[in-house]
Amino acid sequence: MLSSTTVSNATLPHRMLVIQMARTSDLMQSLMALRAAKQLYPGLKITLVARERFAAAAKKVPWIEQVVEFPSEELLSPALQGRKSEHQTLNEIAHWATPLLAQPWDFCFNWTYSEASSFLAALIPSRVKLGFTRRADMTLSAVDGWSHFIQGIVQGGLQQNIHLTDILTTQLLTALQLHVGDPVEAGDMPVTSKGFFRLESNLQRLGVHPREFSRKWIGLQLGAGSLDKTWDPLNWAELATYILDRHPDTQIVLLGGPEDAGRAERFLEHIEGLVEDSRILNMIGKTDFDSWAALIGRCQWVIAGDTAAVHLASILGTRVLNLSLATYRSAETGPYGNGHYVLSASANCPACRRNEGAHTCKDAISAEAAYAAWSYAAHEWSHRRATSVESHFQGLGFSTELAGIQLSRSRIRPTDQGGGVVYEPLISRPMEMDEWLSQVNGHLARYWYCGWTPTIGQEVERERLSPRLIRELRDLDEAALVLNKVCEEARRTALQIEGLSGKLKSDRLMPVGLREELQSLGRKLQELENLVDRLSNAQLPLKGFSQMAKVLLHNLKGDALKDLGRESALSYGQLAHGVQVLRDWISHSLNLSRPRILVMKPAPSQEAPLEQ
Amino acid sequence: MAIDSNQLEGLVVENPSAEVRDSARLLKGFLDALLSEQNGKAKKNSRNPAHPAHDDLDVPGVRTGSA
Repeated sequence: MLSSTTVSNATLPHRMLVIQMARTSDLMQSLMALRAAKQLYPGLKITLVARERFAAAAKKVPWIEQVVEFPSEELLSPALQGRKSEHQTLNEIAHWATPLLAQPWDFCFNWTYSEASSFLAALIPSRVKLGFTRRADMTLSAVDGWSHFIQGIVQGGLQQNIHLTDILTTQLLTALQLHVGDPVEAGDMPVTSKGFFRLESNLQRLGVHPREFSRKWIGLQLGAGSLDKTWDPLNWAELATYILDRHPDTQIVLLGGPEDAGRAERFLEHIEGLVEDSRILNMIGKTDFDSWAALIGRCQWVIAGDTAAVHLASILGTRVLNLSLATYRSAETGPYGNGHYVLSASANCPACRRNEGAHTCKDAISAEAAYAAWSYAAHEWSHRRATSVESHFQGLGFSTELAGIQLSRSRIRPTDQGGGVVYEPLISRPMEMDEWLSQVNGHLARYWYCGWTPTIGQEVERERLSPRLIRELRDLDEAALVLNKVCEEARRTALQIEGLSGKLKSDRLMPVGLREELQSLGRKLQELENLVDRLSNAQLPLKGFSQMAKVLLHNLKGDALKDLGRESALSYGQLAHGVQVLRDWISHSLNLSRPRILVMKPAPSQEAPLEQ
Repeated sequence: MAIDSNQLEGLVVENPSAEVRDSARLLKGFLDALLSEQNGKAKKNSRNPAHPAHDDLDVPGVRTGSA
């Protein structure tokens, strides 16, 4: 962490506005980050802007001062349908926004990371802003390092392994430490708890019979964020049958909204006659936020795909088996906490790579695989993970399911290992470039923005380095060396621009010779930027650097040529250091893969004279 | 590499009340971008979840926000 020279005033009131106009999943992750900040800075007065439809969770958090709801449907539908003019709609939005503009905020965090939210963030008067906003010329501006990383890497479609909750938390706590001072000592207070929300739900009002409380509840959230990521209802039914047949103390709770009614119907048709009706608690379409949260809080396990249920269960401390289907990235948005499990396909399918078409990778996640994964996870207290996943599957007769899957378990790293959640694979498989690069990109973000980095390759195991990955890394090393030189040359060129322009009284009026020299340096810098692009097109693992270069160069601070020269030099310096980190990773991995020569010590000779 | 705290502190404004912003253009930009998101949603004719358990993919977030 950064050392702070300011005096701590963590308990003094600081007004903070958080703009989170994205979905419930993003809102839940934001709430976890805010909870951590509120514990360390109890003086924070947090106001949250959320869309009306997704604001329910925030309104149930007692330590949020105010939730300002944006009524999307009410404000936008009439404009879309032509029932209101643009002028009328603008007036209504201005009226909605006026209270937010009345008094300057100490902090404004825009965690929506969207075009629309950047305009709203720009309107807000605030002493400190983080996230996306707009410049005076209306162009988009990502105003801090973590936002650069989100724009360049996370939204750039590249793999990285830092969970979004950890990104938001680190961004927030670092900014608070810089601007407010050191936090209060909060000890080891957990962020998640059953009492996170102030709920007003009585499960018996939902028709839950008291006898059902004596069983272990397993919640199945049937729907997901998109059809791609939704599991077939027949799979759910088969999974439920396995659980109910083999675990007589369990109760299945079906979770979902009214739009899941069709899925629930197919589920129930398939399961009819196979299990007792009383062991299925169908809550599809019957819950509001309070009762949904109460049900999930009561469950011992929630099994779900890419849905906000995963984050709600994480917050409430309910364990999760997360079915990672299609393009879902569990490393970034999986269940948060210790002891959650993620079941995914062992490899991406063509549709995952193209981001279109039918995802054949979903076929790997069968009901048998999900049941075996859940039963392994649910009984880890008895086998203490001394039993391997492979032998557990074998014991169930499901060995054939192992070929196409990966099962990972979440763990919160200790602070001295960098903190944050990590998903540890439990089935040994060769590491491919995507996974390797995801670790490197996560390492780079910590290196650039945390001030603390783990040892290079800390979580890379020698046995997992595949021959294909080794070949790819050898090729990559040559290109990375060239990229490093290009970034260094660009840094030097930018410094020359800074040096020359520092002598100018004006950026417009200057001697002809000096102007030609500056133009020549500018052209050279442009050529070097193009070279970064060409290198990353030839070697896709370098794509992150060209995308980060674009983001960094777009977000240079200052207007004068001298400032832009200095800022460009800093940006290329950052990239050059990053490429060196990549090269260290390559070197470490290639060294790890080298055959080891075991030197056997000769056995002591019996005839050797005893030492005196 | 020494951490550049300038990159982490965000945008700092000494006197935000005195900052002159072109509010009308920013509001117009906000509205246009919101309508564009909603139009995208309508075109895709995707599901319209009423239940908080479900996400609406057409509402941009960290993973989906395009900037």
